Amino acid sequence: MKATHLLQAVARRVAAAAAVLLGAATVAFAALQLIPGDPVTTMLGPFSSATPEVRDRIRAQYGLGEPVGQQYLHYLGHLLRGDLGQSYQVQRPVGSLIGDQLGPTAQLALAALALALLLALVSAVATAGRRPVLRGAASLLELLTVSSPSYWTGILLLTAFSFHWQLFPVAGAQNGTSLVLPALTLALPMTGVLAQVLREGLETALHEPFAVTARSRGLSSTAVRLRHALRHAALPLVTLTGWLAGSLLGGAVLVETVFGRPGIGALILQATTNKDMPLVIGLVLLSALVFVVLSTLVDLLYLVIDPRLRTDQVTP
Amino acid sequence: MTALPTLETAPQAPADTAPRAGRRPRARTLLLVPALLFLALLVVAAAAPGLFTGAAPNATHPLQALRPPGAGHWFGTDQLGRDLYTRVVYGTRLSLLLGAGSTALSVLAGAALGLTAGLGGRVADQVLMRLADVLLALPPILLALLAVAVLGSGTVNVALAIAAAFAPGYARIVRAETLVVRRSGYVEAATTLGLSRAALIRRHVVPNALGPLLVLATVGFGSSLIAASGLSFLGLGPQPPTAEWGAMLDQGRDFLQTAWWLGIFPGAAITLTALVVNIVGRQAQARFTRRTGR
Repeated sequence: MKATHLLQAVARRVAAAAAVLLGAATVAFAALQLIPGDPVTTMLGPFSSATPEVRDRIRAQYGLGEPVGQQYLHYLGHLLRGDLGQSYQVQRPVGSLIGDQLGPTAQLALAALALALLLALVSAVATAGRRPVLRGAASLLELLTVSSPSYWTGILLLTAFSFHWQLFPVAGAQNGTSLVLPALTLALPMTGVLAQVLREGLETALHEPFAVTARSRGLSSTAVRLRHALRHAALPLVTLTGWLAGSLLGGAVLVETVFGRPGIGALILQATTNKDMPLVIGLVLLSALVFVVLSTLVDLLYLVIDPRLRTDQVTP
Repeated sequence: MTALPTLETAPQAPADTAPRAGRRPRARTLLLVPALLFLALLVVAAAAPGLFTGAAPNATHPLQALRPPGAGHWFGTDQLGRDLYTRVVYGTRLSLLLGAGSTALSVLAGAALGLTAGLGGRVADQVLMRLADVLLALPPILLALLAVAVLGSGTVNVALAIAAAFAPGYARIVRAETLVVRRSGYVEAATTLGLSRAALIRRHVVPNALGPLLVLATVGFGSSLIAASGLSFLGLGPQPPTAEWGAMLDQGRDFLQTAWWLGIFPGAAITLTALVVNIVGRQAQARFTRRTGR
């Protein structure tokens, strides 16, 4: 790839990322304007007896008295400096609130992602192109995992493995064992979708001439699957995984609630119920950032997996 | 930016249409009949819950609290001694309404926005689709929670929030279909024959662009139901003592250690409903794809 092309591609990618972030910031700001009622009342709670002077001071402090256009520009200016503002409810900077909760959720999401990929890989490689009974059973199982809401799967796992057999802790995020059930809960619906797509891809690839050739060279069926077919089947899987990984943040809201784990999901729920808009906006921006990073990673992974994309003509 | 899979590929896996082995379509049809029967049963339960149970969903019997499933109480009783089976039956109406209402709203909003983008000229198209790009970058649950933060909690607001979360996906699909239809031969022919723009849109563009949407909405109903019950589970939807599956799971959470049935049955109702809807929806999708070749 020539240097100029690479630069252009990078510039395009950065511009697109910035556009998504700006868009998310704008949508969040618009949502803030749509909230009925006085933001100061929201901030203080309905039972506050704050004097009008106190309310005016808060209004000035948050710039709430200015015209909307000016508020928007101020807000963008602060964002550019990395300042997400102060939480209404907990009088702390939004950035540090989010930072505190990032660890447990990142652990949960990564564990779930790894688990989902592993389970999908095993299921698809074992059943692709095999006997109809086997495929049918796997398909039905996948349909079941896709149809089961994570909050219910979580409750089932909790009932079986924490209450009945007492193998795993009921709540919290102190150690490794407390991660197992939440990660599995978050992983299962993803596993169903990924396994289906991967099996389709594998079956298509197994019918390609190169797979037939490899098999006729005497390679075992499993070796053909792992060494030849998998790389071809992996491309759609990468896109899908990127998309699903972005939605893990949404899934974390439910799973962290079921298992009583601290984290971004719990923070999102807390911010929503309290109408803590600066915090809600901060979390929306975090999610947009995760999306931007993931889609960049997906594009890079494409180049790693499929050498045919590394030529000049196909610069994305 | 990489083209993202929208509703049709991501949360629910695509309808695989490869006619392989000849045996699978029959297996799918085999599942279709019980699925349709169960769906009919659900509709009856939603319309006339009294047919299935003689008890009242909110009648409390403190002396019979937290009884395990058995004769007299098929699904056991909850912490207030209410019969869980009766509550699950009575919960059908609101749970289905939440799922169906939010799906209908999101399809309507998506159709309106998609048609506007597809027919309204470059500026409308650009503005709407860039907005859809941004909204699709966020997980649906997060969008729904953002909407709840703005609207406040409650049953109607949850339906609106879920509708808002799924509408961008539908809008994008309708826009794509609209563009396909606009460039098609029969629209060109109709234009040549001098059909007015309004009649053209009404008679050709709308029916042809919306067909795929309705098929997709069947599968979307499953996602909406799960998402709406999820918001109820988070305590943002119907409030106690209303019988709704997600809310029932939420209210039973504190008693799971001793009363496993409180966590099993309402969730099983959500899952079974989503499962049969998915089976029916996929079948519809597969047939539609086979018929139209799209």
